[in-house]
Amino acid sequence: VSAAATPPAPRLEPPVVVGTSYWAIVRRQLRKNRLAMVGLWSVVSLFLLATYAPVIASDRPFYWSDAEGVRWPWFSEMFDRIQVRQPVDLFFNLLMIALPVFAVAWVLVRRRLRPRGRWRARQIRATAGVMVGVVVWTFLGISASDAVAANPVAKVLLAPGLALRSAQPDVDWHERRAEAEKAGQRVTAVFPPVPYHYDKTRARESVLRPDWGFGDIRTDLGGVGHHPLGTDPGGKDVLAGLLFGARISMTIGVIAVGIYVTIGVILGSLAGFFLGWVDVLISRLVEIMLCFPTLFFVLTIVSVFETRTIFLIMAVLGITGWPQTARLVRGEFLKERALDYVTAARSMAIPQRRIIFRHVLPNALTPVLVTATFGVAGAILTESGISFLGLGDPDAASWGTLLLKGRQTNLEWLILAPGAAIFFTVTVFNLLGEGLRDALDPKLRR
Amino acid sequence: VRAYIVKRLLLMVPTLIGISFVLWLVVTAAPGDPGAGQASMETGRRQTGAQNESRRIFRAQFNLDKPVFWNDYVSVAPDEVFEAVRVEADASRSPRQRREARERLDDWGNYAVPALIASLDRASGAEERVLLLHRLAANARRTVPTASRERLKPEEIERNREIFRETREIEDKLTLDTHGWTAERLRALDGGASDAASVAMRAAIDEKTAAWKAWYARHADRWTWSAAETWKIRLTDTRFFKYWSNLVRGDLGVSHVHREPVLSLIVSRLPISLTLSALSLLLAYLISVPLGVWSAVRHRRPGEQAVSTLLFMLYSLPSFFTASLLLRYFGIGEPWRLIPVEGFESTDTFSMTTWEHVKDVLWHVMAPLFCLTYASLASLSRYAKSGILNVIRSDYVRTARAKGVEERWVIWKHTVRNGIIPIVTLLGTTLPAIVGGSIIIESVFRIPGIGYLLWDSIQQRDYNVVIGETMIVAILTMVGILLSDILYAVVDPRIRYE
Repeated sequence: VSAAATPPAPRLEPPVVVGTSYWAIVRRQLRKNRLAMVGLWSVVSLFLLATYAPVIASDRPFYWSDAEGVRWPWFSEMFDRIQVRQPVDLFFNLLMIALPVFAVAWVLVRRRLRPRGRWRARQIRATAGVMVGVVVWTFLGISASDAVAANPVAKVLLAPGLALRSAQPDVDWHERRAEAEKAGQRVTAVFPPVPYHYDKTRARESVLRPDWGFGDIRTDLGGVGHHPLGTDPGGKDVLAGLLFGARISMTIGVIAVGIYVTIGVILGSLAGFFLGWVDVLISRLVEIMLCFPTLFFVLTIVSVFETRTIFLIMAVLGITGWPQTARLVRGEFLKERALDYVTAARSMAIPQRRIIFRHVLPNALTPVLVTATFGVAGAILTESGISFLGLGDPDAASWGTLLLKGRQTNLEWLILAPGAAIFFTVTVFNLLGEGLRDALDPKLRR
Repeated sequence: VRAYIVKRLLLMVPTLIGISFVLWLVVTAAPGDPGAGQASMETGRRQTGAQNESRRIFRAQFNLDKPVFWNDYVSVAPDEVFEAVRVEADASRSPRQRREARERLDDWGNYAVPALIASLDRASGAEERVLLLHRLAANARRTVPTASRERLKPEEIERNREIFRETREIEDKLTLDTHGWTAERLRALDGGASDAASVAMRAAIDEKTAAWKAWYARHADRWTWSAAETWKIRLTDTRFFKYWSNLVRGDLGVSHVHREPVLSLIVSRLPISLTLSALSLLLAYLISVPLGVWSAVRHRRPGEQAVSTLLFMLYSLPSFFTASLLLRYFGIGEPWRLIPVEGFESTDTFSMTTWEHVKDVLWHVMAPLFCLTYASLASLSRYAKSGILNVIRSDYVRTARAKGVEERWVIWKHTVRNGIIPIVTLLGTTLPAIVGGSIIIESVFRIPGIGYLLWDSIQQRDYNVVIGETMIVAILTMVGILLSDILYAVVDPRIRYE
């Protein structure tokens, strides 16, 4: 019976657990899902295609040199008020410049980032904030109306955007080239691969079949380049229309969903957190709004407006789409508010606003991300539907408008091209949504 | 369950009021008025008298000329009216100011007549006097409510005749003929010009002024109200009150394109759309349940994966694209002519037997039905599949299998009934989707249902129909959602509502 039989147990240091954050898991799950990755990369490439549409299709030459000297119309007329009428196009043109700048800035900043933790997140947020701010600021200057641009105060405040603007007389460079060559001058010009504007009528080239980028250029009709996907009755190039239509569709999808997700999240979290009469009121409102079939309601509102711009359609889609999101967020809040961490936060007398927006909301937002992705697909579909009915913005290069032309003329490439574009975009967003849903669902985690 | 149903039925009332209120907001809060652009489309800034007139009638028809909640036009001050007329006459003011003054005068309508008559004596220049006379001719006129094809009551006919007679009188006897008059001539008149034409003009103006005064003296009782009447007008002759009182009476107005009450117009189109939607729903559920069961049973096998991918693609395929493709390749005869291009039935249905008629409708409806159904079919069968998969994994199914129950019975008896409960609730979202989709499908295939009616009415600016129809459709959807909720309670006995 010895007392020294068992040596004292060595004190163990608690093992260092390298935790995986929720989002790291989600990212890993998403990477495993091959279809979702196809969706993700397709969305990214669609976005890039939309942004860099003028590189592929534009009637401005990149480089032009004749007896008078050298000019760069493609670059100098990027923010031209005569050439680019659609504000959406102005924005994407700005993005053409901004994206590479962003990329460079990101590489530079990344090296200086702190390893991990809160400071890293703050740095990233600050950098992103500055970049977005600069783009928005410049865009305000670029898209300001002439009256605002003449205002002396605005001239100072919006200087960078205003400096980029121009308003040069519209020149048909193809015609100018033909004239110069007829006169025996030497002209060197580099045009984009599809040297046509998406919205300028070329009467002689109307209803050309697709040449897929091969074969002879129909110079006898005044053609100056290939029409890979043919032309419509107005002689407008279909491929150019599709590319610029992608800009419209992307914008509609993102902005409309952005509007309604914001409204839905705010109303839903109020209802789910406070309950009581706030909840009754908001839930009633949701029920009322859900009684209107989306397309009926949207068309009714659109019909009372005389000029239908795509911004109107975005706004209408935005203010009619929120009930689903609100309902979802409300449900999530009901689930979350019963959990211990909310009680703990309350017992620490943290202000209610902070509990709602900093504690509960981030946890309730993940399912919203999924519905938002599906929502983009839905918004794109609804907008093309409205345009297809002939009730959209007549000036926007919407895929739906193109399809409507196809329906009216029964030209097969005018039906197939925009239809396939809509189908592809919607599928791709739906794929991404499915993938996100699976990745975010803890039950399916492997 | 009965208490639940009663409660839901009672809750329909506030929802109904909410629906009407939302639509009222749409009509009222919409910036500008839909008629304005219609009038100014051709001539740009300059609007002709006829266009002004059509705009005025349009606003009157939708009560847009009335104040929203509180009618103070009834006590509009003569000074204000006179000032507005002067602004409208003053060429030195900006076009915008003048337009606003004119629109204000238009909105005051009949109520401004006493003030205009009083202003006749105060007008200084010839130009103002001429303008006042024109104003009177426009504002004193009463309009006939949009006629429908329905038989009118004798007293209504009598009233309309009276109004027409009065309008004729105003046009023939009281309206100043200003043909060939110019602003310079009028100004010359003020300067004391005494050539023959000026004298004639002056005489004409004086004559009409006297005529109007006489006319007003005869009709003055129209504008003399007791205090109670004034209050009644203040409260009831407003957009808000008119809208709700019409609604309570079930009066959705008259379509000015079809010359028919909106309600009966919609009711006459409804059977077609209901047939289409009901068939589509039926098809979607009939096919999606077996399909869902099949894919749940064969989960992750090659054949099932192919079908699931196909369904996923179908779900993303826009119905208007499919419809255009079908019409292009199977409708117009290049290369095939297999489906009818438009319509719900042939034109010669009267010579058919009932059976032939049904066959004819089915033949017409085939393609639209396909386009309307496949999307909801795809999403329903996906939900059915996941619902059944959830049940198949549950303990009691394992128990059943362990007991040696045949697989067929396990699936059809134990699993399916529980597994499809979730898709019953989807009725509430599928129904609005199908109804909404019918607008596109009906207008592509030109099927004269309510979807086509809506599209057509928007194109023709027949707003009574647009608003009325959206309201009816919302009410129908509300009933549909209610039915699906009740059905849910019936199908799933576990659900208890307090």
